[in-house]
Amino acid sequence: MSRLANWMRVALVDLRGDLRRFGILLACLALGTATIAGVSSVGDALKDAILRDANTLLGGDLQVNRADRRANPDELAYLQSLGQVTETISSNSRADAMDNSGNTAFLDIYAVDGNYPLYGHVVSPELKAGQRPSDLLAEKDGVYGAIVDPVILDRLGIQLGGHFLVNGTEFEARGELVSLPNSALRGLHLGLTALMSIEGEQANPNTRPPLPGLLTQYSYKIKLNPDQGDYTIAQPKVAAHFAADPEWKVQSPYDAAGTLARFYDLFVRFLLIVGLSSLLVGGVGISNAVTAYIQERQRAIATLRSLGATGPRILVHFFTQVGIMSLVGIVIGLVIGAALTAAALPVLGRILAVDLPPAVEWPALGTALLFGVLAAFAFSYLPLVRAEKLKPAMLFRTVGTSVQNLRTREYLDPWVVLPLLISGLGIFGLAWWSTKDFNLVFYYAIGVIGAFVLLSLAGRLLQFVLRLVPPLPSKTLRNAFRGIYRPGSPAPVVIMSLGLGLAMLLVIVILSVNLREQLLGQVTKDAPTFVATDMFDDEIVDLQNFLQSTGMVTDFKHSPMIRAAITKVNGVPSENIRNRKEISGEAAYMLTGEILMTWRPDLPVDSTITSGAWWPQDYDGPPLVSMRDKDAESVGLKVGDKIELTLFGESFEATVANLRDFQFQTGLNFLVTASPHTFDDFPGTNLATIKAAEGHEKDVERALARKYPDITFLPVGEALNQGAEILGQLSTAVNIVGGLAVVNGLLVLAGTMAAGRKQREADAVVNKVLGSTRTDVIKVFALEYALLGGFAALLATCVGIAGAYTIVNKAQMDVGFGVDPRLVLGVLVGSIALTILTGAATTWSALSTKPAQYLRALG
Amino acid sequence: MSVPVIETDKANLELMSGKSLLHILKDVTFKVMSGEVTAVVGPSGSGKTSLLMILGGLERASSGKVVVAGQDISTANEDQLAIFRRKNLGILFQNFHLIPSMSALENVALALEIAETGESFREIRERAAAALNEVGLGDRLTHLPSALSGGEQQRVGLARAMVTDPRLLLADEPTGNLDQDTGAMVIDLMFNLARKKGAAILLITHDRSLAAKADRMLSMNHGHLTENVKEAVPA
Repeated sequence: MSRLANWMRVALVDLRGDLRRFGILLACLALGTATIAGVSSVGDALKDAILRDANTLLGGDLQVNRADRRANPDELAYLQSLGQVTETISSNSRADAMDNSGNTAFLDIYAVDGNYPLYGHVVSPELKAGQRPSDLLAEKDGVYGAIVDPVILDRLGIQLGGHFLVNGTEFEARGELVSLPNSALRGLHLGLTALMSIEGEQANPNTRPPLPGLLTQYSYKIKLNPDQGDYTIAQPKVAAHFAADPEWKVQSPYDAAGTLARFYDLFVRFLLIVGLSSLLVGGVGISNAVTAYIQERQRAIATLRSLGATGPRILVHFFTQVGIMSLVGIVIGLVIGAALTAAALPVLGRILAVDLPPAVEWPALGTALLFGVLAAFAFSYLPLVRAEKLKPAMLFRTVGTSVQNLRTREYLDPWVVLPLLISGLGIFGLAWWSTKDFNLVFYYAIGVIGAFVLLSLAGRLLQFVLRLVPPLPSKTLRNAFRGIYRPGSPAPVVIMSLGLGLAMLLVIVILSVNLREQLLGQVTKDAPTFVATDMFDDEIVDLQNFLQSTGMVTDFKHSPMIRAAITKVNGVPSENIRNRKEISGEAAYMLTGEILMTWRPDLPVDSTITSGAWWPQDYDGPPLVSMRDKDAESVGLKVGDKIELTLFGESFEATVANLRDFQFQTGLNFLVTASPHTFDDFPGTNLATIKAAEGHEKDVERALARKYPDITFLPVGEALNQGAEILGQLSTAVNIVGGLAVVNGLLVLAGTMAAGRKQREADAVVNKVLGSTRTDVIKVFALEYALLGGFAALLATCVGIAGAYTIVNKAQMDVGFGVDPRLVLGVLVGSIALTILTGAATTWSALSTKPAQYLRALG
Repeated sequence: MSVPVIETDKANLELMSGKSLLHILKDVTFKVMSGEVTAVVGPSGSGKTSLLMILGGLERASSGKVVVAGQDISTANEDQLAIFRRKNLGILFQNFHLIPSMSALENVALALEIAETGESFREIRERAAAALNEVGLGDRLTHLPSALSGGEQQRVGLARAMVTDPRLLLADEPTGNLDQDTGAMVIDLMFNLARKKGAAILLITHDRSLAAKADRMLSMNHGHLTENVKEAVPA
């Protein structure tokens, strides 16, 4: 032990001096560790907060809810026997201004009773401390109160105290709503939130949901009496009580919070992979930096060897030095990560409506520390082994500036391969443990290893091929080629560093673009601004004429519609299927009750048949239906299967003729489209979609409200845009983290170029001595870097696209896949430009070197 | 009784240069006795440095026998050679090869640290300081190599090479980077020190006047080592 300590002490003495040479190593490690520390800390804090505040987020110790009706007196009495109960009703409707201005606002109505909230507080400046929301919501002089999102006031053109109508009932805006205690778990909702009393919401009972899918939810939140125990005891009891009626859903705070936690978990998992990418890209920088350091110190190593230092001593000596500097980098990263987390949590909390006070997440920092240590070891070990193998004979010979690679059989030495394997497995295991997602980490690891191997082989292959090229007439091109394949050329390292950095960047960008597309579709581009249902044929003609006259509408589509329910699937009642766990949300909704259906002779233009065939235009046979493929698959339907449709009290069977793939946003699409004449015996109406010209959304809304006061035009575009805003903020987080990975890539590139600077300096001096001008030299360098940058970018494009595709398809990230050629082109051009610029920047000083000065220094 | 410190028998060194095989040392057979100062002269590329390298275990002879300080080093592995060097050899380089981040004292102490003599840290530093005193650098202990002149750096190198009391000092063109006066001063210092400690010296040099100071002069030509016809003049 004292011998080891002695070796380490000498290493520390030798570490003195210019620590700037460790700059890239420190920066790469600090950035990578900071990213992982930040991402893990935010993820942990988010999950902790959601689970810690689960009762508040749910609004009770237990919640039972259903979509079709309120609890009857018996059911309510049972719930009240468990503890204090608050009833809430979520629905949508339109608010109209009362001044004939035509101003409207589409509302997300949250109707509550006097007990709300059981946990937490409604935040509104007009609610005094200790005052209950019901005080502001109660009826006064025939007018109900409402606490509303301030935007509603703007939309309606009123101030606090102003009145408006909802379903014919008059409300007074008595408070501005800042937040509901349970808003995080309410998730994304259509419309602007208005808190009102149940009496006010129910004052006009003859209202129906404006569109199937905008379901009314009747929820009963219970604060359990102490004698009921906690939710673990009460939940099974309540579930058993309501077992006969599957429409009742019983949720504990942890069920509800768990869903939210899982959603954010996916988000955090994705970020963690991005953070890990940043660290791995930085790993190449670490490896380059250590190689450069060893290269710089090779004469000192040889001197130590000539003085009698053994291989293990050399390894310990430089391992100690690199280890200490790595620890410094990691600690800097942890401090930055912790500071960024503390700063980011309150901001993120505001966006996600979760209480996230600044905090230091020690377990997350521990994870980042381990990742940093393992990555630093994995990426510095090989250069250190090369140092160990360095022969002292070089002290007597003129050698190149590069450290020799190990021979193939030396790589197979257990002392070389085992530590690498163990650290690699350590990183894999830690990533698996952190993400709890084996598939994701497994395919990610395969991709990373594949990328390393491919880029490493590609660099050598390029050198081999260029060596075979017969001498070219262009001197510049000839020299550039020679620069790439000459011994000691940085080409393989540049291709590896740049290729890996760019591939990671592409994976991140492609994934985040696809994630966004999946969540939002082509929302902002293609989604209609308004949707209206149940319109008669003459109203459609009239609406079309009216919209044309406004000149503010860019698209108007309509389609016949009818409300019908799928009551059986292959003879099995829908209610027995829709509650199965494996059924997707959309498929379950399809079986909930009446949904909108249509009929048509021809295949919609934006659909792709994935199974079966479309019916002939003049088809007049037994009822056939076309369904969305993923929904049909989710409920176990395939072509040729039967479903039972029920409408107006009558039921009949239809055969699934085909399955289609389509996006709702790109056209008028329905979950079920029937063959012509299927609904001939029933009174159908129309569904219309309107796309307002950009900037005229409010004008069109006002004009429609004035002209058609009895028709609700759902502002779906606006709602989707609200969703887009939240997701936009989340994707900003993704972009920031992705940006850090890119910065790490740049550091790696700069490090690579800086490491090759000595060689370029020597080349430049020799060229200048032989009479080349500075322009000649820089032309060759620029061309060399352009070739390397272009080659690396091409490889990175293939690796990046393949990597993103694999993650999307194999790691069960529920995301579609597409690649934007402009994005790829941008990356290609950008990377070539960047390589030339970085190369030029680090070469400039080499070009400025005066030959005499260099030659003199050479001795 | 005088015993051989170096004993080679038909030592050959062949190295690959690109695709061609270079025969650097050809059947080199010679002996150097303990305490003997031997100079090897010869033109550039004749194989002088290669000879020094196989004697120092820095390069392995392709064939033949190389025994140094009684140890056959032609079959030893890298780490055995390292241990052999620390116990038996001091090496003085043309380019000094001091560790730039370490002071003169630390550079000399490094040789003792690597030799793992079992001495305490304080003892090692005292011995290193004494060695520097012997070469006249007692007032330069804390100076970094960059703050020392060429002659001073070579004297630190000499102190480092001799501090472990080696049986053999291998010196490769030790005055090649020094002016004539400084070079002569270093050579005198080296010879005196070696004689005082009873160490043999193998001196590689171009400079025949320096070589003439050795007990014996050998010539290297195209890889062949021959005894010089001229009688060596004692230094």
